Amino acid sequence: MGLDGAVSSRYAAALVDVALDQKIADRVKDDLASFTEAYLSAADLRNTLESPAVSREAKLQVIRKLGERMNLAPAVRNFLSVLVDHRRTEMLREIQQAFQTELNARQNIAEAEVTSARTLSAEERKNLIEMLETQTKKKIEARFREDESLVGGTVVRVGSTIYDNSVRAQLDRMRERLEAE
Amino acid sequence: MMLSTRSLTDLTARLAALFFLLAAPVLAQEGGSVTDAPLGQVFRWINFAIVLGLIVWGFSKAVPYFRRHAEEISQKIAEGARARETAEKRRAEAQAKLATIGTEVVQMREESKRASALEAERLKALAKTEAEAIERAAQAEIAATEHAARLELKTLAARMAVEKAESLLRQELKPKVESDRFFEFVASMAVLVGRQQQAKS
Repeated sequence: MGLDGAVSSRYAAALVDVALDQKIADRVKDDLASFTEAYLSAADLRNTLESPAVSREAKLQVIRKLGERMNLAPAVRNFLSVLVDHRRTEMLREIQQAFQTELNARQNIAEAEVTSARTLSAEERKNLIEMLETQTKKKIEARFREDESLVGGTVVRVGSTIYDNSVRAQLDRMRERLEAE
Repeated sequence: MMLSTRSLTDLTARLAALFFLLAAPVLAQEGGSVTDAPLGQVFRWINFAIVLGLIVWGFSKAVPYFRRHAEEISQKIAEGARARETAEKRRAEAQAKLATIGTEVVQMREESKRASALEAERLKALAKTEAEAIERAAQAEIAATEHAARLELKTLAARMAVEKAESLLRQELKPKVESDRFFEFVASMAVLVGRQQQAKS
């Protein structure tokens, strides 16, 4: 972890503390993710908050107006104001990711990304999540998506580990073996 | 030449005068006829002097001419002798060369044969080396091309086999089959995840 990573982690840990104390972790997580997405997609907003030519008061006013319009939690608005004061808004993306990681660690949550060639049924999803929660002894937050290029089967990523049962992977391995023979 | 002619003329004149003075008493003792008269004697001496003068003048002119002519002849004889010596020398050299020219021709011919043979050997060896190099390069190229073609063919065959397999699987993978595979996968994954968790703890 570099210097920026360490700084991001400190800011994220502080926000997690506040969110857990106020028992609004989910809302803070969603609000922070929404604001980060808006910040990254709107160049004007990014330029305004990062420009040293814009005064602190003007930046805080932008945060306040956006917070009202996006109905952000007061903890998130305050946190964004702190970032403006400390001129750390350009690190918002890293802070948001560090917040997610830290919150998951504190709440014993593991993220799982499931990619399948077809839409999984509710029973299949439930079966998979239960298995993962049983084996990892963590609450699993799974994201599901479809990819027809897999032909068949499923790819599950938990943390940094990938479990690949896709037909595409088996076909690729078969092609490599045939080419190597 | 002018000085010698003049001295010769002076000498002739003095001789004539001496002869005239010595002959005068003798001639003065003779007499009797008209021709013995003093006038006749004078004319006779004058005539004699003229003839003598002509003779002396003729000698004075002829002697240098003959002397020059003799010198020229001597020079020409000497030059002829030298030319003859030179010609003799050249003839001797030519004869000597002619005597050895046969041997030299034979030597030159043999030398030429040896040089030709050596050059032929060198060219033959060079051609052989180049032919071997070309053959090696051609064999390497053929081998590389064959290898590349084999790889390409293998890749093509593998790709076609995979495409065919994918096509068949897309037809065969019905929802029921997929569902069965999914539950099998979850079961096998449970084992794997469990082992990893044990390894972590």
